Amino acid sequence: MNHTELVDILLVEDDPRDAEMIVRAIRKRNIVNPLSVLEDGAEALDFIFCRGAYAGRDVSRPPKVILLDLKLPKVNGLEVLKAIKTEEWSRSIPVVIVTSSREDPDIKTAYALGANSYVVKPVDSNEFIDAMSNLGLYWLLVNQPPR
Amino acid sequence: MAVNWRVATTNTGKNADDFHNSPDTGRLILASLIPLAAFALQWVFWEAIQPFVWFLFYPAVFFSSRIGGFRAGLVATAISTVIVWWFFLPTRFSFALERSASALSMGIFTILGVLFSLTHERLRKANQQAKAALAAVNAAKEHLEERISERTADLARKSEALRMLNAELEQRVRERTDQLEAANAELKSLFESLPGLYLLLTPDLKIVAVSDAYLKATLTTREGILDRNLFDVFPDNPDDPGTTAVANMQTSMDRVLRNAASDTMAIAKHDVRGPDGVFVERYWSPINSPIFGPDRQIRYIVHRVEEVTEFVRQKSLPAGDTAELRIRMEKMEAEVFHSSQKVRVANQQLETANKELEAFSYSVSHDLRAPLRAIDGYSHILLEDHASRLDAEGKRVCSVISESARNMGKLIDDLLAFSRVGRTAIQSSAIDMAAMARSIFFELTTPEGRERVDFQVGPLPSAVGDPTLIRQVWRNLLSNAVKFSSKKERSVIDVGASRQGDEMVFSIRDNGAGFDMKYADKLFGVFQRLHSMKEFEGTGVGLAIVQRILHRHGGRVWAEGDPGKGASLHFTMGKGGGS
Repeated sequence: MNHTELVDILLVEDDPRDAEMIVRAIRKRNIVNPLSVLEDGAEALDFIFCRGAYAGRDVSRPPKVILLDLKLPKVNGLEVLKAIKTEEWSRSIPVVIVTSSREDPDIKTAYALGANSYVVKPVDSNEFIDAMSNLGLYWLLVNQPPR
Repeated sequence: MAVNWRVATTNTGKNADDFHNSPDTGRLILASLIPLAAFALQWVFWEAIQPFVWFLFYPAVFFSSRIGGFRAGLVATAISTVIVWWFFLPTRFSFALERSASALSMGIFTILGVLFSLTHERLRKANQQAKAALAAVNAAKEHLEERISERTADLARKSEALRMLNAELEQRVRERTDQLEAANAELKSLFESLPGLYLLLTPDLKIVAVSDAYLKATLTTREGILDRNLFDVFPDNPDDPGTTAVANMQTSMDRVLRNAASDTMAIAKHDVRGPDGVFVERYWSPINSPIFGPDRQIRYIVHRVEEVTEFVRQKSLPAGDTAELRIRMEKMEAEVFHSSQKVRVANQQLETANKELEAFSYSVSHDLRAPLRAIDGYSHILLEDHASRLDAEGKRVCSVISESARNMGKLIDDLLAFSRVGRTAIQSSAIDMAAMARSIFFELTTPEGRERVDFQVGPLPSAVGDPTLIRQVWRNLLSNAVKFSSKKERSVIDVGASRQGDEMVFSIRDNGAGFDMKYADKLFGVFQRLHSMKEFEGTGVGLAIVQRILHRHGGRVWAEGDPGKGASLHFTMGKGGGS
């Protein structure tokens, strides 16, 4: 992958099957915006803050939406969320928590840290496709970001 | 304002320009004197000046008009013309003119004289206007200053009024504060003189108030314990390693904070340190109750204690009793003490188990759902992207895989819902049961669906319970009634209530599929179903949840059925069961 290219949708998901299904659902809706999949929290932080392997990225062109799983290797989703919502310039990037469980004790914490949305991945594949593609449509087309 | 200005203009104009405004006669005389002076000079120095007859009269007319204005200029011009004509123009001393040039020069002089006069008149007027304007500006400035000083005075008056108001307000605040303090003091003394043993604690267990009776019973002083942590003031007796008072108290306080409800502790031996530092043996029966603030958060905890030391001691006193009886009493006490210890341990274990269960539920819902999602998702991809390579049987197998995965997802969700019902704290309030039953029936059915259902709600008493949980009871029971009667041509669902003994029994009857009473006891087990998936969908958790909720309310649920004729579900709600 070219590390300097523009990315509209950043998906941080360690389960490659979930990642594949999410990407497929988004593409099925003809959303062709550039999308990048990262598998752990540390890499996600490097990407967003243009460090390490992503030092060449343009900080002034952040993703339009970040889809973030909570259970991630190395740095977990809540820490990634906290880092994004702490920095003044990155606070306005919408972060949607996408996770497996509605039982998650972290739902409250995620909202307190400033998550923009919290979506539970449905088991039903039709619901799953609807949920994920609607997410893409909403955050890329309907939502009006600050200038 | 305009009037003031005009008055001011007249006044200052007079002072500033006396000369130009003095009566015309004076200036006219002065103006006619200048040509005469010029004549005198020209007469004396005629030898030097001739033949320039007008030589000194141009300046004369100029100054005359400068001094006297238009009219003075004209007079000076006329006088000069006459003088020059008579005395200097040839033929001298006669008004006869020898040369036509003389007439011309006289004409030019007259025209210039008039021009000087006109110019000076205009100059003079312009001057006057400038002065008037200046005066007006000055007047305006004065007026403004006057207004500013008026405003300043006004402001001073207003700020004085404000100061008075402020002082009055402060006085009122002081009075109110005094009243409040008095009320507070009264409330405090009321609390302190309560006959029972009371401690008022903050949620972090700092002592904020204490009753006199409590001080007396614990041999402490108010100054000695206020604003201190409960356990700093009442630590465990270090000489008695068996004492568990602090641990028990901590557990009870934790329960109060977590459940937001009163917690009664077992009779406990809590030794108290007297003012002399010596521990004295005491027995207590304590209750801890939360007090809520307006934000519904726990503001204080009231720790109420009944001291039973005397009672326990008297029971163990040998006086008048046989030694055998005393030994029996002691044994019983020991048993009570041991069983309360056991209850405490069991409670702790239960709490640990509860926490583990919560973690387990989370992990179940999280980790079991991920592979299910993949199974369903990838079957979906197979069907959608590779349909051409699958025959009809292949496609059927795919949809069976999908359906099974989804079904398992539902089972997991329902199981988690079931486990949640057992864990959430009950928050009771009054419930209008009839309104709740009706609204849930409307939620569960569509307008078309309702047309084939005879839904009757008899008079139902209101009840006390957790509205969210009782709603779940109605939802599960009514959705069962709707589901199991859906294959009849017309569904009949009756909701009613009747008093049986001192209990109120709520009932839901339907004319649906019913069930064989042989299996009545299986109905409320988790995942227990009496119908195949083909007949009626479901996971078999709904009634298990209903039973769990009602048990937690102190009530119960049971069922009567007849295959093909319908089922009746009955439930009671314990103490809150309808009035």
